[in-house]
Amino acid sequence: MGTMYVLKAEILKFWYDLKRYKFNYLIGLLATFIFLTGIYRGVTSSSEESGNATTFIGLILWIFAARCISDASDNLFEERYYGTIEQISVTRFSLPNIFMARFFVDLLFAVIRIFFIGLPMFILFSPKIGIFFTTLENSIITTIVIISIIITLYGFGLLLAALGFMFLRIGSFSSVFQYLILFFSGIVIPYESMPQPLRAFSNLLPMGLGIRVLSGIEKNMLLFKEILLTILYSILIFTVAVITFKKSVRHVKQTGKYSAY
Amino acid sequence: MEGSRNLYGYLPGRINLLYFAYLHKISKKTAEKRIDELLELMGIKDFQNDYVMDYSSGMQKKLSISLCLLTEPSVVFLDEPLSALDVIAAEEITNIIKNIVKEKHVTFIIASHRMDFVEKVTDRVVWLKNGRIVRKGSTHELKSLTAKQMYEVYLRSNDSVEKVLSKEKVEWEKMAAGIIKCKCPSENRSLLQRLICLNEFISVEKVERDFETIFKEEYGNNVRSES
Repeated sequence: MGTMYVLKAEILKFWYDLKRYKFNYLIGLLATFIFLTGIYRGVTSSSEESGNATTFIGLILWIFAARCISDASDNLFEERYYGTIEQISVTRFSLPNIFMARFFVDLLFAVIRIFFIGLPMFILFSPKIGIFFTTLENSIITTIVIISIIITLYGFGLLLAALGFMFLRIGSFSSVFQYLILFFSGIVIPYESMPQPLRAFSNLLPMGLGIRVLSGIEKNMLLFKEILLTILYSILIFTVAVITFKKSVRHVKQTGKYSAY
Repeated sequence: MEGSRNLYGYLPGRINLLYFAYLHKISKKTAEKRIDELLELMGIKDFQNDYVMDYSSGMQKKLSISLCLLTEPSVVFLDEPLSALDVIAAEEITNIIKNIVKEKHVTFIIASHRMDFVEKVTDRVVWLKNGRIVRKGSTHELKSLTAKQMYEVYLRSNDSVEKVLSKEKVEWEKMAAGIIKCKCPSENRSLLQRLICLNEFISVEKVERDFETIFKEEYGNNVRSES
């Protein structure tokens, strides 16, 4: 029941932010639509190996990726900038809980964004995404993989924010991560055509393994090892991120740099 | 409350309070009632729907104090509540704090460099220097403890008078129309007598020193007051 309060608070805050900056949000949607449409068109017309459906789902997931990776560090930056970090820290909710609720609200908004970007793209290109949901097995695996990818992405974001507590400007690296994920997760460049060292790097990226599983489903192959690794990787990253975040908070509180900006 | 850096500039004043009320698990009904009362008390109800970034510093401070009172606390910590305020806004905040103490029986623990403000609003004062307590007590006690009587002696300026004053190492300044104002501590009675006996003597006045002057004389500038 108590969780409802933090969610209500974050929905309220987000709603007023949206009301004030609605024009910026609309332009952002348009810009992302143009960017993703261009990439999709380029990838599907030049590469026969990349499946249209995986590319489509991958690009849609990348919208989540961009949000997940930068969410926690953006929030931390904003709280420190406004000086509100100490104020929210003396409330009835811990900082990770507030950030988590904020992430949940942002995620809901990301779903709306995906609808507004994904639907016109779907109408325009008609990718055969039905393949992921033809059987119950495929549907379950696809859902699990998508959830695992989102958890891994947020874990990476939280890890970045944890480091941001100690190294103030590290948050700016979130955009670098976003583009590494876009280009080296197998969405744009197919995993099979990557050189060996790049494959290892791709596996370490939050979406790499998941995209391979989805690509496998599209080719009627169930990559069980990859499915298991995707789930384990998400649990590992998220656990490490939460522990690191809590330790960073304790460290900066002890050193008096909690609200440093 | 640290200055007024505890508000979201892009949210309206009322929504800032409602947001923090939810984070304190206060129900919407109770929160709305308290917010109405607090905005009324602070005199910013007419601006509740304006964005905080458009508020003046004084209004932001008032909203920050409202935020602190939202949970009906018995103790509130304020860090430099008068920073970046003009004289009128500073007086308003001073009166608001005094009223809250009287009406809501809230204890304020204030960190401030503004001794005039400290003198007006506090019952007890602690002076800190390099993180250590150098004096503490009731505001009245501290003032009387540290108060040394001071006389201001006015003399006609000439070379011999200036020589005497320079030799005695007392604080003095040349004023308009060839008059010298000299500050003479009451314990230096012999000097006071000698100055009064000079032919150049014009008048002498006993000076009441305020809290800020005492503070500066005792500890210089690197001291802060926690009250």
